[in-house]
Parts: sequence; structure tokens; C-alpha cells
Amino acid sequence: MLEIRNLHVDVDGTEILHGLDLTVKTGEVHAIMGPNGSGKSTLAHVVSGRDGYEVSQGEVLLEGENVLEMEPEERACAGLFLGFQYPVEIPGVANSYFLKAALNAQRKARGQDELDALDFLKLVREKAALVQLDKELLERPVNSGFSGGEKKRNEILQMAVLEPKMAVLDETDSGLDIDALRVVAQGVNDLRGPERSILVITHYQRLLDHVVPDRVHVLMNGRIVRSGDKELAKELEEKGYGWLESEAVA
Amino acid sequence: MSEGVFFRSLRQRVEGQAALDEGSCKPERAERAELRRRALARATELGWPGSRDEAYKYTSLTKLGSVPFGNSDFAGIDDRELSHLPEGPLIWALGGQVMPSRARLDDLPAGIRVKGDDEAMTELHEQLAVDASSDFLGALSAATIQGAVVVDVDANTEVDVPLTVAFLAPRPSMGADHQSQAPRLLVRLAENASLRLLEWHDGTSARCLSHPLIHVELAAGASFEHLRLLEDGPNTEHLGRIRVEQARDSRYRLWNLALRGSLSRSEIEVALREPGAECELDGLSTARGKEHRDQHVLVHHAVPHGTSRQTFKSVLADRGRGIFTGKVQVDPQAQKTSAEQSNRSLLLSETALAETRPQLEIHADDVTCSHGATIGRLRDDALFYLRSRGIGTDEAKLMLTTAFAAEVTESLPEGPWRELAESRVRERLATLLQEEEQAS
Repeated sequence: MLEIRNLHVDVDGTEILHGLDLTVKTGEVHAIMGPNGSGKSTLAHVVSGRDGYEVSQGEVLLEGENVLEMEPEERACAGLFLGFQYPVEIPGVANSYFLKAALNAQRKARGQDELDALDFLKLVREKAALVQLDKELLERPVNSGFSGGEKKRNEILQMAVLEPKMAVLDETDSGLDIDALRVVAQGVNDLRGPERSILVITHYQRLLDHVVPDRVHVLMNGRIVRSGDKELAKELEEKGYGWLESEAVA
Repeated sequence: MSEGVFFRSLRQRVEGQAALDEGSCKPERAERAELRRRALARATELGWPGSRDEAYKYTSLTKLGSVPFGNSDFAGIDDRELSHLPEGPLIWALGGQVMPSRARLDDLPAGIRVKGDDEAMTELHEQLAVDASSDFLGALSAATIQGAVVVDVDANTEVDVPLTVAFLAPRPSMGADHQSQAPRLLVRLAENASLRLLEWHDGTSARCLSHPLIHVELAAGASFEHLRLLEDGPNTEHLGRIRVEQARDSRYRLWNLALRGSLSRSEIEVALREPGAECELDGLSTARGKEHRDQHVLVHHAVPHGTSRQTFKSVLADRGRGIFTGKVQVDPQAQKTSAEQSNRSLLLSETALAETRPQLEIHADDVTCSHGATIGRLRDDALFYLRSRGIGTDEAKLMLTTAFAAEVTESLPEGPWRELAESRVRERLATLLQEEEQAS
């Protein structure tokens, strides 16, 4: 599904990712863990197409297509989804209006019929119930005045409605209490399936108790320094990242 | 002073109108002729206001002195499509003159009376006499007035259907390339009366000077909702003035949407003359190309327990300019006044320019007054967020720009007015963004 090859990325002239390789197969859930400043968010931003990141080498392939040549909206229409670490507040745009515009833009790009207001309402209410998001928040401006947990659940709601092939969740667990974490994890688990891949980027192991990954990768100093199964996450929780320091510089 | 092109042609015009007035056998017409000449002398003496005048600091009009004063003649029947205007009673004025054949006044509710032109102008005589010796625009209106609309609502009458007054700049008649018009509207609400009125200005592509004067008098307990939709032609200079007088516990609600025209200035003056009066003023300006918008507001709290709120916004593209001057004057006796003001501008280009001038003159101590002003651009993070969900850049920009304007349009009552305003604003913003896209 997602293949990242030898990815080098500069931010303001400083190289942050130094040749990152990663392959996520269709139907798999992978986790990327790493200390602060290791390049986790840079990876998420580059994959989704945010400005301000210079790719000097390498490629990012989604089902064989190089997404680095696509605009952010084209990537989304190709089935890529980024769950934001800091969801953006957009005053004046109703949440449901935004979500309908997004869904229909994607459907249109794929040659599908746009959903009418009634069908959309039915769909979004059903998905909102799934992530336990108050229906009232659908009519409020996007993320405006939402609590931290509501913002993250709203990200999961968007993912549930848009049904991406490849979801990248950038620290979706940060700042959540345990109940909110469970809801978010449940939302992610509901989307697991043979057709869909998920890349969970996280600083902590606790989310992985609820969303059990097929593979775990450790990102340090801009490279994947170790990969393993879910046991690797537990090992990191016990030992921290220090013991991998030597591999990171090597 | 030396007489330029403008004043030469203005004098000819006013002399012609005065001669017609004198030719009539009605004594009030003879008085009007005399008033025109007096107003002409006053306007000529004052000249066009320029940047040395504080009120026109950013909107100098002196260059209009070299443009001839056009006539308001028109040829034939105007068949302009008005189907997008809300249903209900309609008054149609062309070049400031009421066209009875195009009016829809048959099903006017009881308690509301509408007068047009001669009858209305006679009724306005005293006001015109004051204007004739006031400032330049007042004198210009008194000198050149050709028609007027007077709307009266009787005490305790709630008019539940909105009234539409359409001021249309005439299509140019043969050989004339300059137009002018002095639209004039007086709305008087007696005690506890209520009315909703849409005032629509439409233009043609001809060069046109439009200088409307709108007076509103609200008696105790009256409530007036006033939507102004300014869609003048691309070569129109629109110099509008709205004067509102409010008695006890009256309520004035304005939406001033200055969407089109090469230059448009909306001078809005509201006087809260008795306790308990309340006014809420919302404005939205849009400018493209080298267009210029000026929203010049004065709210005068003359007595205690008055409430006012101003929310003025502008969306400026290309080399568009948006000026806001918002003055709140609170007299020493006007204790317990509550006044809010906000002005926000959204710039869609590097070359657009916004000027904001809050002016608070507060001479009472027990008052709540606040003001805020911001000038900004579309937020990159919001744009990226929308695009990351699959929404194309153009649509994402339109969504954010419309959202910016929505604070004004969403405060309109639900129904035809809001639908009309939202669709006109959206269409206009889409044009602004398209042009920006093409220029980049």
C-alpha cells in the first residue's frame, strides 16, 4: 500500500529525515515510535503534502503512485488521510458542511455520484455515534471551541466518513485521557480491514495496548533504526529509547 | 473659485431643473427652484471634499471635479430583470425617479403608506432646505434631486412583508456617457411600528455618480430592519449617506453590503436621542481591481441607557482598498451606555490595502465600550487542513472567505433576505478569488 524509499527531507535547510525506508502492506497496521525531535511529525507532514518541507531524495508511493508529485487534495482523493496532531479550528465553516464538501470532492474525483444532503446526514450521524461525538458538534464550526478530546474524535470521525485506503495518524493519542483514548482506539479498530492500512505515529506505547500493531518501527534521528512486532513497543516502554542511541548514529 | 468641468455642467443642469420647476403652476415648485439655486451656490462654494478634510482623509473626491456632471435622463422602458429580488411590495426608481408602472404596491398592508416623487419631494421640502445649506453632498442632493420615496408606517403597525426599494441607475440615453442620480428615501416609523426594508442599488456599465440620501426616523418603540445591497456598476461612484434618528426604546438594525462599484462610500450616522434606543450595524465591503470602499460610521449616544454595536468587515482583492472609520460619541449625560465596535479586513492579495480608524469619544464614566480591529490573510493552516481532506484549493479558499463574510450574512433573519445576501456575496467572492488565481 505505502512504500517509502530512501526519503531525505530538509526543513529550513536542515536535513530532518536521512534516508527513511518503510513499507506498509495492504491490510496492515504499523506503528512508528520515537523520541521527540526524531522526525515523526515531519514524516506525517511530508506524506500528506504540507508546505515547508523539501524532499531532496527518495519517493513515497501509494499503491505504486508517487504522492510527492500530487497536491494535498489529490493525495486525499487517492485515498490518503492524515489525522492531525493539532486539528485546525475553522470559524464560520460548519463541521458537517466541511465534511460533506470533503466527501463529495473525493467521490467526484473517483467518478462516484455525490451524496445528497439526506444520505450524508444519515451517514455522518451513524459515524458520529461510533466515535461518541455529540451530534451538536456537527453543526458547530470545525473544531472551534472543541475540547482536546473532541478534536481528536472529530479527526477519527472524518477518517470514518472518508474511509481512506491509507490513514496516517499523527500522535492522535496525545493529550487524551484514558476514556477518550479508548474511544479513539475503538474508532481506529473499526476501520481495520483487509483493504485498508493504518500508520500510527505515537510517542507512547499506551495507544498500542488498544490498537495492536502488526509491525512497530523505531524512528530516531531521521531514520528507522529498528523494526519488530508488538513486543518491540513493550520493550521500548520498559527501556526507553536510550539503548537504541548507538544504532541511530551508526 | 474657478469653475471646473463638473461645476459648469452641474450649473447647467440645475438651471434647467429650476426652470422646469418655475414653469409649473404649483407654488411649492417655485420654492424648490429657489432652493436648488441656493444649494447649487453652496455646493459650488464648498467644492468636492478632499483629503484635507478629516472625514475624507482616505477618500479624496477632488478628482471628481474634472468629471462632467451627467444627466439622469433615460430612454424608453427599462426591462431589467428583478426576478432575484424577494417577493412582496416593490418600489422601483430609475435615476432617482419612481416608476409607478413597475411598482408592486397593490397588496400593500394596511398602515403603511408610500409616496413618490412630486408628493414626496414636497414632503421633504424642509429637509431639503436644511441640506441646501449643509455640506457638499447635502447641497448636491438638494440641488439636483429629481424624485424621492417616502415610506410611513402608522403607530402599532407591524408590517410583516418586507418592502423592497430598488434604485436603478438609468441606462445611458443616446450620446450621453455620464450619468448621475440623487436617490432619496425617507422612512418614518410611528410609535411601536415595525418594518423591514431592502434597499437595492443596481448600476449599468456607464460612468455614473450616484449620491443617495437615506433618512430614517424611528419613534418610541419602533423597530426597523434595513438591508442595503449596493451592486452599482463598475464605473459608478456611489456616495451614500444614511441618517438615523432614534427615539425611546426604538431599534435600528442595518446590514450594509457594499459589494460593487468603482468607488463606494457609505456614511452612516445614527443618533440615539432617547433612553433605551438600540442600534446594531453590520457592514460588508468587497473590492477588486482598483475599487475603493469606505465605511464611515458615527454612532452618537446623546442620552443614558443606549446600546450600539458595529461589526464591519471587508474582503479586498487585487489593489482594492477598504477604509473604515468608526466613531462612537458618548455625551457626558449618556451614562449606562453600552457600545461595541469591531472591524476586520481580509486581504486576498499583497497589494490590497485596509485602513481602520476606530474613534471613541467618551465623555461619560459609567459606560461599557469596546472596540477591536484586525487585518489578516487567509490562514495557511486552515487552507491545508481543508485540502488534506480532498477539497480543492479554489473551493477551500472560497469556503474560508465565505466563512469570513458569514458573520455578517448569518446575522440576517432566515429566509429570502439571507438567501439573497448569501448568494450575492458568494458569487462576488468567487469572482474575487478567480481573478486572484488568474493573476498569480
